Amino acid sequence: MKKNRYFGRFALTLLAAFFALWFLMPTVLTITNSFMTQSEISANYGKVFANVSGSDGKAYIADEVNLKFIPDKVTFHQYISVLIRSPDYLLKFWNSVILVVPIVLLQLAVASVTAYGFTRWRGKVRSLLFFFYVILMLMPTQVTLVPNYLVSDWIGILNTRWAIILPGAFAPFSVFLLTKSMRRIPASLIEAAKLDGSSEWQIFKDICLPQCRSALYSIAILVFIDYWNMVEQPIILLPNADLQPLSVYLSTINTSEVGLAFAIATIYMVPSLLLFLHGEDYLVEGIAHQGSVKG
Amino acid sequence: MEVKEKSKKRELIKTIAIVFLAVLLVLTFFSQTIMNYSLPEVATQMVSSGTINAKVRGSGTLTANESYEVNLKQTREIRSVCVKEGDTVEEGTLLFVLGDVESEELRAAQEALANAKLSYEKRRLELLKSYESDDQSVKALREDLERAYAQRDANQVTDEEVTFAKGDLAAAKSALGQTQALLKELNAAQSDSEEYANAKAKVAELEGEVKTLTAAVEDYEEQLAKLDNGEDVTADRKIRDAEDALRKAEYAWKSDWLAYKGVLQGLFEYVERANIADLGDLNTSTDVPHTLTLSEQMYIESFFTQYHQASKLPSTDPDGSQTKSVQGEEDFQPGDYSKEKEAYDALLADQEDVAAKQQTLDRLRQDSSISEGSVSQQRRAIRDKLDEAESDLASTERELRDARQELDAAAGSNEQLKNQIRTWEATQRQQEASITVLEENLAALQEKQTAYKSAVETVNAKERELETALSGKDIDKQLNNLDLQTMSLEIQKQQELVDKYTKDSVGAEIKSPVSGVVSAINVSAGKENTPDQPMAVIDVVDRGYIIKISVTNEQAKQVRVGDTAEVTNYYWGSEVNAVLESITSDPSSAGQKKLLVFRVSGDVEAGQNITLSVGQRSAPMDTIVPKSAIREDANGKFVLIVTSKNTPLGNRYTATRAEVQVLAEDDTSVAVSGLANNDYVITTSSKPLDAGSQVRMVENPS
Repeated sequence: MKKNRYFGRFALTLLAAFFALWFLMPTVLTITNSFMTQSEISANYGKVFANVSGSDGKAYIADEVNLKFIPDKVTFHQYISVLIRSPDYLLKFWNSVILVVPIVLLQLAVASVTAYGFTRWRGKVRSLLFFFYVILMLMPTQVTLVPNYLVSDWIGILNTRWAIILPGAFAPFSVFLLTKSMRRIPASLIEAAKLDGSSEWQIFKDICLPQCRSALYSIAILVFIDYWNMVEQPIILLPNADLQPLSVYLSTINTSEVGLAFAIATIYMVPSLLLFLHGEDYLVEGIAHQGSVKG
Repeated sequence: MEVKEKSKKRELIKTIAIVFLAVLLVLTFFSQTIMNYSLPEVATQMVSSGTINAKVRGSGTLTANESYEVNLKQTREIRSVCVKEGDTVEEGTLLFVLGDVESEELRAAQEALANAKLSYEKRRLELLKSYESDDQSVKALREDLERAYAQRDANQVTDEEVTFAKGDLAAAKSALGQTQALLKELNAAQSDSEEYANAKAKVAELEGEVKTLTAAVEDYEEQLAKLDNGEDVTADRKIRDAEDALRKAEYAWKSDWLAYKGVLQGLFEYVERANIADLGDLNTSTDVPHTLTLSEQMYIESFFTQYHQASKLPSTDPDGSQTKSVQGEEDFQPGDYSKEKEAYDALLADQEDVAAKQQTLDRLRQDSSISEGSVSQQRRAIRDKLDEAESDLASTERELRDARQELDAAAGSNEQLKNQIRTWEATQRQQEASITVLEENLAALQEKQTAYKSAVETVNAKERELETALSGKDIDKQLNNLDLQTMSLEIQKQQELVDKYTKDSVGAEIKSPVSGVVSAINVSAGKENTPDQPMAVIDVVDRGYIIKISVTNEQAKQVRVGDTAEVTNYYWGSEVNAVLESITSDPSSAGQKKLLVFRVSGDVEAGQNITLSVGQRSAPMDTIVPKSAIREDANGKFVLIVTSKNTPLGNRYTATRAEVQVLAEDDTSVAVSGLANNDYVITTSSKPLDAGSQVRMVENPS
């Protein structure tokens, strides 16, 4: 019986390892390929970009796409191009930072206050509002793009960073998540604070927020990753290429810049990775708590 | 513990994140600077307005103002082309040598002439026939004319026949001259044939030698045989035998000497008395026998000969006295000297015999040393000698054979020469005979020709007479006469044409009619020309050169006829002048362009490419850029203008292509269309520039 259990665990571990490797593969591929020369990349993946302008038929292109993990010749040429030769990519990186950091901070601020409100007040209006929030949250980004565009245009912030930041700051997802998290705080705790003469602000600041730290962290990470990788919103709402984030550039690479794209992608994944590693524990904890929340 | 580790890890990650961002920030800060250093640095200038001293420039190829085309109206073979393109020729310089072929045109002209003559004759005869009934005198005249015709036709001799006859005569004479020269040579060769006599003497000499050597060989062989047979042949005995033989011979010689003396003494005395021959130093009186020297022998032999000739004289002298009775020697018969000759021959034979015997004795004595040795030694010695003698004999025989062959050859060639001389003498006689015949023929022909010419004159006179008689009868006749005159004129014309072509066909040379430079030769030696296609083009240098330059209508407005142009690509040689002679529309551009025609003089040649610049009038222009800003590629002329773009890190400058059209230009500036007044054009760049590439502005020193 005991033997069987060990075998089962072993099998599961193997399966997990397999899937882990399977899911890791694109990332590993991106990192290793960023050290390849442009010609090697063109030869290996040329078929993928065959229809893209820029394939002039001069360079050799393999008949089939050839996934390669080990470069023929390790080179830092792509990194030098990205980081030193041209300021364009760095500027786009900072564009991403300039867009994403305010969104995360504002969204956390707005969401925490809103969630506190939903937690503390009861009534029909609250239920109706919350219901709208949930409906909004369920809508895909693409659906809200057109209304966002129209509104941005109407209030005159189209083609500025605010057209991205403002809709991001008021996103409903984190409100929903934080509300669920705050409802987990025992009512007796708030009652005790009240009895001790705490104001609502003190209750919010000193009791609710510390209690929801892991939830806030996980929300910050999720929102950061979500907006760090956004493509559609900047394309629609921010046509000015000088203000667009690096993620947009990565989605529009052409054949002659595939090598650069690998290097840029590698650099681009670093902030997300660091953020995840830094808040890994909170993220796991926060999601676990959400999972256990009922009602 | 676990919590502590976690917080440590978080600290580490935080540090990494900070470092990462800090590095990116620093790189961003410096990236613009780094990039700027890699960009080409350009200098710009704003588009300005102002005036421009427009100069029209253009290049073209010089052509001669006047060129002469050398033509030939006939089809002829070109035998040789004497000039090449670029040669300077004077008037009369030989250009082409033509082959002596009768050309198509000559044949056609001859045919036309024959036809014209035929139709003329026909017409005339028809007319004559129609006039027949008119007049009796006409009939008489016609009869005269017919006779004249007959005489003319009978004596018809063409110039060609006479020329041929003359040619034949000249050829025969030259052949005779050659034959005579040959005969002279052959005779000289024959008189030189001493070779034959020499060869004969040599053969005789060699025959004697062979005889002696054969005897020696036989002697040795005999000795050898004797040795082989074991016969004892001692040297002493041989010597003794030889001495005996010598003594005998000497004895015989002495006795013969006495006989000779006795017989010849009388003869000599007679001769001296009769003064027939001079005996000279001949020792006739000595009684002691002595060997007759060679000179003595010769003298005696010549004496015999003289004597023999004297004996053949007439028996009587002119005065009638008999020779034989001179000094009363009745018993001596002149001419009968056989006794004396016999005695002399016997003496000579004895003399030779004695010499031979003496030789044999000497040899034997010499060989006596050999006989002292053994038989085998002797044999060897004799064999050596035999071998030597045989080899000598063999070589001498070879020489003899060669000498005989030479003798035969000499005899043969001598005979051959004689045969040749005989043959050529016969040829010479034949040629002399044929020359005589030819001369007679020529004389006859010339005589006939004279007769023919007089007959033709007679015919013409008669014809004129007849025509005079017939003319004026009526208008028809006059008209007919007019017809005849026309036909006659036609004949004359054709005759002239035939004469001209005939002259051309034998003239066979084409000379330059003008002085100038050969600019083209369209034929090559060995081929035929095409009539009316120029065979060569000669630029007449004295008339100067022209050059045509195509310009736009705008540019044409800036120049005037008479303007002097400057030659900009021609720095060598002496001065070159170009003056604008005319402005015409360019037929190849449908009104879009004009042709400027310049007259060029100076040290230039046709075919040179020169660039001219003309025009001084200034014109106000709105958009003027420096000349260095104008670039050109396959799509035409363009300038690169700078466009700037604001970025968070400052201005970015890009070179943008702007197509322009050049309206006017001078040495430094160009007026163009297609630019705005506030554009900045790139004039210089530190690196090659493409449209669309980023650039960095040059930093002004101020």
